[in-house]
Amino acid sequence: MKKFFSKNGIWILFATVIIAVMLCVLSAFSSGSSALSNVAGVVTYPFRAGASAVTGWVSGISERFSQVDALQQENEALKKQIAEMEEDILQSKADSEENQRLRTLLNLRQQRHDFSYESATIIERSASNWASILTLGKGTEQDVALNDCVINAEGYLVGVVTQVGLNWCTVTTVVDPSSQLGALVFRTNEVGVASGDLSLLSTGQLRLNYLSNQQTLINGDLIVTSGLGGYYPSGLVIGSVGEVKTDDSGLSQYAIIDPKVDLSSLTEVFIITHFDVVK
Amino acid sequence: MSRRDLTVKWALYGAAVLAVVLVQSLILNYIRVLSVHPFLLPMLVGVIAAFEGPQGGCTFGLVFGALCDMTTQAAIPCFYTLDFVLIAFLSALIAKNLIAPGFFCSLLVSAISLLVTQLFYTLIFTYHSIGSPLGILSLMGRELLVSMVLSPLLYLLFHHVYRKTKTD
Repeated sequence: MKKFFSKNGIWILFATVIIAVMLCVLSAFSSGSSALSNVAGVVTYPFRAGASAVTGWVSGISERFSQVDALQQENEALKKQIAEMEEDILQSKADSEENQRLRTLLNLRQQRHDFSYESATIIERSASNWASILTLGKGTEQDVALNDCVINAEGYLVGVVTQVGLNWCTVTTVVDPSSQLGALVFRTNEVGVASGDLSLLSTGQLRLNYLSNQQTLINGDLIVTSGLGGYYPSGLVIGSVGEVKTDDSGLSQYAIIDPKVDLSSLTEVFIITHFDVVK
Repeated sequence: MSRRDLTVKWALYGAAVLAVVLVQSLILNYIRVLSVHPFLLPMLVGVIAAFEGPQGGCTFGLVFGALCDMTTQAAIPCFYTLDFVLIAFLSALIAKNLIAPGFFCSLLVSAISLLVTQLFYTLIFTYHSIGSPLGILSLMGRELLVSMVLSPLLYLLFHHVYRKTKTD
């Protein structure tokens, strides 16, 4: 060991410190991702995308054989649901027209969301059990930027873009311990912060913190993004309340949220590259 | 060892590491036991360092760690660079002073590699007030248990490479 330190150990330690500092500095001074990460991401992108395609093909084949009965039942249930939703659409068309008439009558201005989407495939999932991060196959080439929200096909929030390269980006999902989002209880308009929690990571849940003492949450209450601050669009569904608990101090309450999106079965997502809130 | 032998040795190690990384990302990331999946990357650094000693092990840890930091997002930008160099150093120290490189040494360094990585995460999360102590301990225990099951396979793979490339 002494020979190691006297000959090469000091140089290896020196190189480690230099590389670590360089990685930190590059990360701190770059807006989407450091140049090295970007290059590494671009170089490994074909391999990751290829590997993801192979995994998807293999799991698709096995699913085809194992889930025929379940798929048939799901098909019947979905047909019924479509019929009910078509009825709801007709009703909401009528409601929307009435809303427009009343707005015009009261001289209220229109409030709407305009989203631009970019579809993306998940090419990698985080190897670590201490984080919940996805890598997607779209990047700055497709106008993806930091802090863009990512949703699934049903419009449920998956996460937020936290690193972006030329043709790749990483998404910190809603259940990641470092995730923090302004949230709103849809029914009561109470605001809170939806954040990931390490003890809930394995169960795929997250917490709703900073609830007022007069909160009136019930199980099943829908939690959506608040849109406060303008960083994220409002109204994106995060999940529903599973349980309301009191924290260890006994002074405040928090809710356990069951996310609407099933992260384990997700293969394709949509990145909201642009949104407008017109008031 | 000649330059050519050295190149062949590390090329074989590189191929074995790539195989492990592929297995990790294509298969293991999708298998959940006790709500965690096996995490082999720190363990492979420890096992290689146990065989190759401090110089080779730490250099490998530095290069592999930097590559991991450039291609994956971790808690801090230089997480794996620092983590893997420390793992390599500790593993080489154990192999040199405590147990001769072999099956039991690999088991021990694999466990220590995982623990060092977990402690790094714990430090960072504690600094950012993320996670309760119970939650952290539970995750540590489950990850250790599930990952250590595959440690003998890592030993077999890298021991095979080590024997093939060893020059007396």
